[in-house]
Amino acid sequence: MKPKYIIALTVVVVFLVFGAFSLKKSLTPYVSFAQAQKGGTVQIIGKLVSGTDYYDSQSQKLAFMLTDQESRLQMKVLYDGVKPGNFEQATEIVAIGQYQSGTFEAEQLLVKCPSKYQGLPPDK
Amino acid sequence: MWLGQASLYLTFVFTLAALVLYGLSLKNNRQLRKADLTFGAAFLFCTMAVAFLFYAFLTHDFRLSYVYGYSSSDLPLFYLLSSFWAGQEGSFLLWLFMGFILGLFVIKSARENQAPAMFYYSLVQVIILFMLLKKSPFELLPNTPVEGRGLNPLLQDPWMVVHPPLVFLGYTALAVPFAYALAALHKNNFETWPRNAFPWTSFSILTLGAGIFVGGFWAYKVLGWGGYWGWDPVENASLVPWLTSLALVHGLILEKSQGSLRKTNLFLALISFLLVIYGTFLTRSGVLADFSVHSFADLGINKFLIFFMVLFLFISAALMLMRFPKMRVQKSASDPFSQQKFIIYGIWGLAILAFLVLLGTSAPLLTTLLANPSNVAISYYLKISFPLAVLLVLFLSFSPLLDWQKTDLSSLRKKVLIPFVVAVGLTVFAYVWGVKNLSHLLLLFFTFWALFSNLFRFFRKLPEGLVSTSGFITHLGFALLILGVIFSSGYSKSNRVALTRGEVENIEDFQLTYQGEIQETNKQNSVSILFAKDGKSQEVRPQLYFSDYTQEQMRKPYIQRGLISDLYLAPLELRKVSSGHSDSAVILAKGESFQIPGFEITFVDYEMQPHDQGGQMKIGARLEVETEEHSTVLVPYQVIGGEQVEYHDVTLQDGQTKISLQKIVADTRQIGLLVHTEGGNSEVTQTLLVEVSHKPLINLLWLGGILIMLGSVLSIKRRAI
Repeated sequence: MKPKYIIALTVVVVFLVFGAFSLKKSLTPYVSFAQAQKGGTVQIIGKLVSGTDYYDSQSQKLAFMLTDQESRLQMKVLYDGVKPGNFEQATEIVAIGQYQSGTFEAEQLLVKCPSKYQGLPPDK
Repeated sequence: MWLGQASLYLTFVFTLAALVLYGLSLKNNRQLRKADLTFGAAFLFCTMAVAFLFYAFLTHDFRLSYVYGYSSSDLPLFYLLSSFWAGQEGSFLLWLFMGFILGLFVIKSARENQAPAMFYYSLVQVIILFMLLKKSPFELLPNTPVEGRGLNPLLQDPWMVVHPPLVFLGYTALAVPFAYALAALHKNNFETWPRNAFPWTSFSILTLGAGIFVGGFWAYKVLGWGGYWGWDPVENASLVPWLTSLALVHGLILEKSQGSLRKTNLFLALISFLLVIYGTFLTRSGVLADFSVHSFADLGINKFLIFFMVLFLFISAALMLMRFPKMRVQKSASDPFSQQKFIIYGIWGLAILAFLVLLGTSAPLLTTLLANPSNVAISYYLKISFPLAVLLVLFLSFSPLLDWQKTDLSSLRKKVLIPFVVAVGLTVFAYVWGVKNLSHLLLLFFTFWALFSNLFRFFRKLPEGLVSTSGFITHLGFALLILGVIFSSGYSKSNRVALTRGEVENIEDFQLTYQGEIQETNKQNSVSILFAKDGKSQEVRPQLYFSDYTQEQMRKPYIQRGLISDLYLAPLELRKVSSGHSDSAVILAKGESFQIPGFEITFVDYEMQPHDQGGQMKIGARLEVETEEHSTVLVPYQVIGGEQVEYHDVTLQDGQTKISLQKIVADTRQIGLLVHTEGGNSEVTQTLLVEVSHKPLINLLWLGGILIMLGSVLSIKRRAI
């Protein structure tokens, strides 16, 4: 094998290893509320406790409570960003972030709504 | 509307016939003319189907489930036309239709490769038709609704008219190099394929790229999509094939001139279109429904998409395995420090980037298969794209200065000097301005360098005609794009401000006053903000309303465009706090009175009378209610003696204050009243929460996009047959 192939191969392998490593670190598995409290970046899914959302004017963050559908545990979520458009109507809310001393600090919120982009025909 | 469905079936029959006829022409071109005519006929029927669907939208034919689902009779003509591709079924029809149009051009220009290229091309069309027939836009409802559901307000935007057609045109165009690659492998003749494939690859870079940029621009000015780029699966699904076709176009340049990189190019051409299908599968099949902001619901075409994917994967892999081992390849004899080699490095960079983005986008699917379904955080994409962006701009900064085969290092030193010095200067300037992050400075430095290397070469080359500078223009655009991204996202200053109605708020060097809600005729209500700067003031109206269609809050920012920086005013939330909203208890003796805003209320006397036969008793409190103009008497009362006490309250003239008689204290001859006040307009304080942010140098991003598109147009012109 010529040295230039070895160099090329090394570069490619380094990148792929780097990519796989980053991917593994950035993976955010869906976990239960109890597991989320153990730390790490994860996704939790739950129902919004209606009426609990407000803007915390000091930290300028959106705060709300989520309920785990299975364990009925509740968790306070802080989100540094714009309240998603369909927040109140969401069937479920996915929060991606980390649990830190009593609250879940969300980096990203995904709001699940039934049939968001699909026109549903009337009852057939 | 059976006519529409019938034309779809006829399109299918004729495309299938064309496929067979092209298949029969593979050995000798005997049936070729017949095949072309059949393909043309299929095109006509497809045009009819498209026309019928447009007609159905224009005449509000709500018998059609698709028309019902995506339009309504009050929709303006402009949006009525774009409703055509608002949903899955219509998008596929659009894709099919564009496929036919491009197919006609392929017939005209394919020459000796026509039969095999059109054979594989028709196969793609047949499979899209399969999916369309499975989920047709001409499906009828059992009964005709009077009104349609309307178009998602997020999609009611002028960009909706051009964005999806551009993306689908790009997807369709990638089917052409795909078909040419298969044709070349099929015939085992590779002489003409790069010349055939090149303009189509450039064309798909142009259209898919324009689609991506238009999408980004649209997302930038409508808040609901979350910024110009969010690494969402739907966005990534269009980015990945775009990156691979960028790699392909560079490979084809080398293959055309040197005959090298043949296998790489064939592979890239095949994989680009396979990635289009895979992306369609990821985003349209509902597998990512839990992970994406805008993925589509499952329509039951998954099996077809998987079949589609596996079939083409199989054909591609089989043909490559058959031909590659015996293929004669031209080794490029160039120096490692030559333009040729740098093109190859760039191809690798783009391919690795595409692969890593693909890996992230597929993560939910892969992890679902392996274990716990997981998504990747956006930080993954930032992490992987950063070093590759540095490498790519590094290649861009050198390659225009290098010689094609072997670079004379002493002449290189001279050429490098000016761009290098300018880049150092600008990086220092950026540092002083506020870029303190070391990795940002590194990326900035190479980007500036790439910018000026290409700029100088551009001016050097310009006398030979604009067309000959296409590469430099595209690379200039790429450097500007990266600058725009670094500054607008990394150095955007933003803060959230609460604006109380009627009160002037000082923010930086301007004043904002929230003036109230505005009812718009199209129900897309907005909020009125007075924006004052340097003594001049102007009313701005960002949108903030609740949509009945999507059952969600819609927001559209106000953007004040500036050359250096955009001011981005995004309404977040309108809070209405009613000052009067309260329940208060009052205890009064006879003759005593109390006041609430606008009223003075005096307890005059009891009223007692038997209620009905059952021995129930009605006890009331006669209240004299005085306003400034007049006084009335109201009597809230209780009915006692039944199983439960019934309370009957009274409402004051303002319609918001209710008074009920809660307690009768007989021994002290007092009454207890409960005064319940709803928030009335006059007493509500409205607070509008807005996010004020600056997007510095965002214009460089758009300018970069435009230059990349311009460069692609020129490159098509330059290398078209």
